[in-house]
Amino acid sequence: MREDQLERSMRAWSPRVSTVDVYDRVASKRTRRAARRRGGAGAVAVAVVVAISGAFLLLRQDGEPARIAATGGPYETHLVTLDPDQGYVRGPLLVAGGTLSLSAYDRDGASFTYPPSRIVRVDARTFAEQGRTDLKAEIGSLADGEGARWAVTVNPPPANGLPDAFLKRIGGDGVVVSTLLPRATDPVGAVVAGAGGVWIPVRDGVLRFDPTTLRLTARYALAPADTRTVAISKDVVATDAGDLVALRPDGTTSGLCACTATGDPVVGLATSASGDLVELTRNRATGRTAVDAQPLPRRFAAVSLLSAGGRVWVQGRMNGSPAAVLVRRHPATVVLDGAHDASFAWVGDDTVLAVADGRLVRVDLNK
Amino acid sequence: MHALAEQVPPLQEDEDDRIRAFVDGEYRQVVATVALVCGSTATAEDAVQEALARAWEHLARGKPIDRLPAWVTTVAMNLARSQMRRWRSERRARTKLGAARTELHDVTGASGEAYAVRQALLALPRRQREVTALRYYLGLDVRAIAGTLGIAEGTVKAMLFRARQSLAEALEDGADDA
Repeated sequence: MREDQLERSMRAWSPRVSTVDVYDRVASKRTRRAARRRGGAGAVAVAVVVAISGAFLLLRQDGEPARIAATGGPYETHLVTLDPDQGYVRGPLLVAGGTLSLSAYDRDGASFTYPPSRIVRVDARTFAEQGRTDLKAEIGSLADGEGARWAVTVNPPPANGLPDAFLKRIGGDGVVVSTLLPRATDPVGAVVAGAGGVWIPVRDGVLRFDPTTLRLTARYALAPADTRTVAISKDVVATDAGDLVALRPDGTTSGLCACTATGDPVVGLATSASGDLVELTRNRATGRTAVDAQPLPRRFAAVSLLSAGGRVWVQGRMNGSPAAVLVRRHPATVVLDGAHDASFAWVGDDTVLAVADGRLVRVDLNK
Repeated sequence: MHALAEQVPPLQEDEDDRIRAFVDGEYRQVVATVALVCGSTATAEDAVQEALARAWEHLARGKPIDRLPAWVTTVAMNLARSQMRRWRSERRARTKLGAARTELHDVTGASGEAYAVRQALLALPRRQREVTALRYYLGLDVRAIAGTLGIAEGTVKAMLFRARQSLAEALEDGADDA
């Protein structure tokens, strides 16, 4: 058999290997290996560690908190049991007016399956259910504004090409109106509603929809990017290859001065309580991230900047585990050690809600 | 501007970045290589992820790994081999007890000539299978294969020669059957 023939035949076989969540699974295996070495693997199947100012808290599988270290004060985490059970809950999370919206799916072992999917609204303090919206596809992002709630959903990926994605308008009466995004559209950031439009960041730009008719009213062409953020301040602003651009009502764009102290590329945007833009930047040389020029912890790998109710936080990873940094006078870092599929919402001065491994967790920072 | 750029220290790549880069880069190809050797994509994925976790620990302890893909491939192959050995033992035990035979091989993504080659490859002795996968799927040269598997270059060449002969015979037989 000729070498080239053998090589060609072997390469023609290509198993379907996904890289989705691989990094998380590897991080989990690493955590379990470390736990086994410490001799505590049997007792700690799921560990939630909160680290604030050097204090740590461990949440045992039975839900009882067990402090493993506390300097500067004790802190507590609690698994939240939703009643009725909502299945596997995960991000995106949306905080609006004391209500937390989260995505929920049917459980499939340690993971989830869809269809169906649903958006569940619960009181952010009591966790009492306030409503649910039944959907079919995977929920990519959520927004609140223009008199409704909004979701971008994505169908399962086909064998070839990009999956179909939809914009869903969820009215106050719970009625869902849906529109298919243009074919081959690849949403790469969270939907935003405001300034007279619904804005969806996509790989090669931003789409603007009319909030009443759900018609596509503008397509802003920007440099292709794997992630993109739109935020509404005095202008509607989007990230564009490290710069900022204003998205004009007439469908054109104009460059903006990012005006960061360091001149580093802007990789995320949010809006502060006063309506000003908050910028997440990444240093070109070191890769270290900062929020409005205030450096984030050295080992923290930022992924996205979020805000709600005047609070700003950054989601990312710390030493391979999901983590969030709360941007405040004395920044706090919350780490869900060894957890998977996590999202965070900073809902009260001293309260963070998080979803991880399909469960809802409340972290009390000042207990 | 250029002078300033030159003064900037080089990016300090830490272990987290290397693991992430591997997942985004070589992960799929290494999984496919291990799957070719062990016959199961699921086993290969688990083995490569476990190997990556070990590499991460290794790097975090300050121990260098020069060629991460080769390191991960070697460890993953050993882990997959151990796993398949355990399963074969269990299967033998179940067979003795009269339980239904469990198919170890998955065939996801295999078709036509590629499927035939893969089946013929799975019939090779383990070492021949490893050198063949490393050579013709991962594209390593003889020296790199020898380094990865910890065997002499001459042994690699001999195994490749015998593997090609066996594959040619197996595939010709298969063609006759058709």
